[in-house]
Amino acid sequence: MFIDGRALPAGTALEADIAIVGAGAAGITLARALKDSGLSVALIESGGLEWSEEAQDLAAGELGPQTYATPDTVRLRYFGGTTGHWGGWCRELDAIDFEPRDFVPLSGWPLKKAEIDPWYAKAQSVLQLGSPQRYADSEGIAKAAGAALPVARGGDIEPILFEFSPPTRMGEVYRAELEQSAVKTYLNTTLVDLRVGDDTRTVTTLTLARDGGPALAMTARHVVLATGALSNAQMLLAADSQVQGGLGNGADQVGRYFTDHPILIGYAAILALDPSAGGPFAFGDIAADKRRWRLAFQPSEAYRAAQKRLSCLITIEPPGPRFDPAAGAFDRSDAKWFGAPETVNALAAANATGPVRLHVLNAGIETRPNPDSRVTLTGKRDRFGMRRLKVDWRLSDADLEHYLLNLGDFAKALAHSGTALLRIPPDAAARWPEETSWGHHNLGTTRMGDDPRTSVCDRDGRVHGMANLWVAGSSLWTTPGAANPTLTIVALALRLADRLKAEMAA
Amino acid sequence: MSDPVARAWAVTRRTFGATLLGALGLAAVETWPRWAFWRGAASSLDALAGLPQAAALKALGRQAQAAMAIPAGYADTLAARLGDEGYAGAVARDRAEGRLVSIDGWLVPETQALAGLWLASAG
Repeated sequence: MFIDGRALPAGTALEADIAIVGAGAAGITLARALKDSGLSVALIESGGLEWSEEAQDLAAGELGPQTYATPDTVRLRYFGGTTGHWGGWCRELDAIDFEPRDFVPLSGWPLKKAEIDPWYAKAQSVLQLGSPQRYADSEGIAKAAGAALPVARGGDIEPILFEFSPPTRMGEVYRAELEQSAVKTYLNTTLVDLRVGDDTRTVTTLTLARDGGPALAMTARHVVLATGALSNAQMLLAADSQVQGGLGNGADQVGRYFTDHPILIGYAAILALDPSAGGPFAFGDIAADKRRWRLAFQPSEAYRAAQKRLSCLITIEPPGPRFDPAAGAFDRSDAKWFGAPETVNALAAANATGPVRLHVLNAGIETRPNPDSRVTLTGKRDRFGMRRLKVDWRLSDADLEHYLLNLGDFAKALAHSGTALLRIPPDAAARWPEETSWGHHNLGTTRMGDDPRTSVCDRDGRVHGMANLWVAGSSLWTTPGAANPTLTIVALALRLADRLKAEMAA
Repeated sequence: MSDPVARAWAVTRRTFGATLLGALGLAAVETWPRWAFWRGAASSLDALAGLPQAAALKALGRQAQAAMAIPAGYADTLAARLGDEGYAGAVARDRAEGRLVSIDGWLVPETQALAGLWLASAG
């Protein structure tokens, strides 16, 4: 059932077995997985059923020197959360992404991928996807779509797949199911404090603010923060009235290791030479087997391990109207990636009259964990008195260096295949990190780990040192890999639901 | 077999034979790299202008002219390669032997780079 928190009488006592804070990908997945468990479940959402400026303002904050999306634009505060505008890109993390790597300090999850695989399989249906076995089947999907692969599977740089979710707008797709369930979804209700008992290990009360009335108190046996990597850290840090520094922050780890996937639009260009290359390089969405896919190129796991490389996922953008002579122009904002102006003009003319095709690359790259890249609280407060955030995203030159090495190997692979030439501008490094976009993937800030000195949550998502406080979502990331996070967020939420059921049964 | 039927068979056999011979001849021409590449051109270098991607290679060649020292005698080297193996064969050999060069960041098989230089120099 849905309950508007603003309509509740002052002093209403609320209680639940499990209180889930945040109705986004993780929170809605948890609530759905627990709705028939016999447990009383409360789902607490700061926004309403529709987006509103009032709710979104609660997410506002500041940025550090690195250009980045402001906190109130990178996440959505309403029922369904950021699934309300995600693009649907789905892919599992690779097994190596979970492993400690000696060339990446502080890398490695406390889990193996195999431990998550059963929930990855279940997450597929949550996000309205097909079989998880297809992510490596670039040959099969390309064949089904009638497209040829420009480089082969099994090489150093190999083609892999994303599958597209429709995308699943959880606030729409699962609204009726939750409304008709026993889960109590409190809308327009904002968590502003977590109160602990005398042991300081047990959250006893959630303080819930709303417009139009005094704050309400909710008691719960277990509390799950599922508000995204920014707000999860904000909430833990702000709960400092009883515990100095906030909950789970005894080692000053909350908010640290924040990152996103830098998205490098351009930084390299492709000249497809093969007259039959329209197929291999027409890599917009591929429709095959009644689903949508996108081919990408990635250094293989073996190659990454052998060469000590971070990951990246490169997509070749289809030529599009910007390179269509009928559209009248060669897009000048992309032109710099192809060379000097006279070269660009000549290539554009060749693109217009001949079988060659020009493409730019997009790449999402993996960054190394950086404790100084972090989310902190500022002295400014929102209308409920919560301290606002500052997001200080730090990128290192080493992150780009790994990408350029991977890109150089891709250039060799393409040159050897005879299908295309790839250009890495000599001044590419000078454009970093100023000309960097991002995937809107807030990652880290309450990372998992076995060692409380370098992590915030344990392998299940329970906050170190806390008996009944859990975290769900992408704030758990330790090393980011290069894949988009939503599928893994859902898989980990399903895993946590099973963990909580076991905890309650015990 | 009656005479008209026998004559029809004979015509069919001759027609089939001529077609087969023609196909074999065409295949021979197409698989002989030099001939296939040259076609009607006066020389192997002149034939470069007939490549589908000639305009793009010429653009890269001009970039190379502006950005790097041009190797002496490159045209002779290029002509010898084309004469031996044709354009596609020479480029394939570059790939097999890892002969790639960088032109302003473009990673290019050496023969393609030399072809671009030649096309650029030809105006």
